[in-house]
Amino acid sequence: MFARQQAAALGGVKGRLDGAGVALVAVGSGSTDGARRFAEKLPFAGEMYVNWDLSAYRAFRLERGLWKTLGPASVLRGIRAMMDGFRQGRTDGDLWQQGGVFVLGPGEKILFEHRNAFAGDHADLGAVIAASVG
Amino acid sequence: MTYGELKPRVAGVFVQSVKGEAVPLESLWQGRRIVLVFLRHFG
Repeated sequence: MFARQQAAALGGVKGRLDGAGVALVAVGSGSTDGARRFAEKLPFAGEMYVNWDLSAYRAFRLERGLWKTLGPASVLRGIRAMMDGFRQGRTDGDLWQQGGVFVLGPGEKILFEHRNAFAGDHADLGAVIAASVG
Repeated sequence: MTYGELKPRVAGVFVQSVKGEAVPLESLWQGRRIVLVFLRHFG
C-alpha cells in the first residue's frame, strides 16, 4: 500500500523530472515478476529494478525491522493512505525493509537523501524536486 | 552521507532489471541525474 502510494506520488511529478533531464528509478525488494505486475498496475513509468538480497538497501543504510513496519506511526499512516484510496495488494518482497529516496549524479554526487524511519514515512516531494531540478 | 562514504558500500552491488539483467548499482547514476526510490516491497 505504501509502495503504491509513494510510486504514485513520484509518478505524478515524472513530467517535471523528465523536463529537467532527471530519470526516475525505483528499486524493490521483490521478484522481477512482482516488479512487472507492480509497474503495470499503477502504472509506474520510471525504470524498475529489483534487489532481493537487500544489498543495495544495506549500502544506503536503509532501516529494517518489524516495529518499523507495524508500529503505531505506521498504522496511522496506513489509515491515512487507505482514506486516500490506497489498498494493500499482493505483497512481494521483504515486509520489514523500509525504503528511501535519494537524488544522485551525474557521477559522484548526492544531492538529496531521505531514509524512511518507518513504513509510510515518505520523503517531502517538494524537496525531492528542488534537489533534482536545482 | 558523503559520496566518499557511499562509494565503497555500493562497490560490487548489483540490481536486476525486470528483464533479469544484472546491473551495477552505481552505473545507474554515473552518466545522468536520477531520483532513486527504494520501495519497501511490491504490493
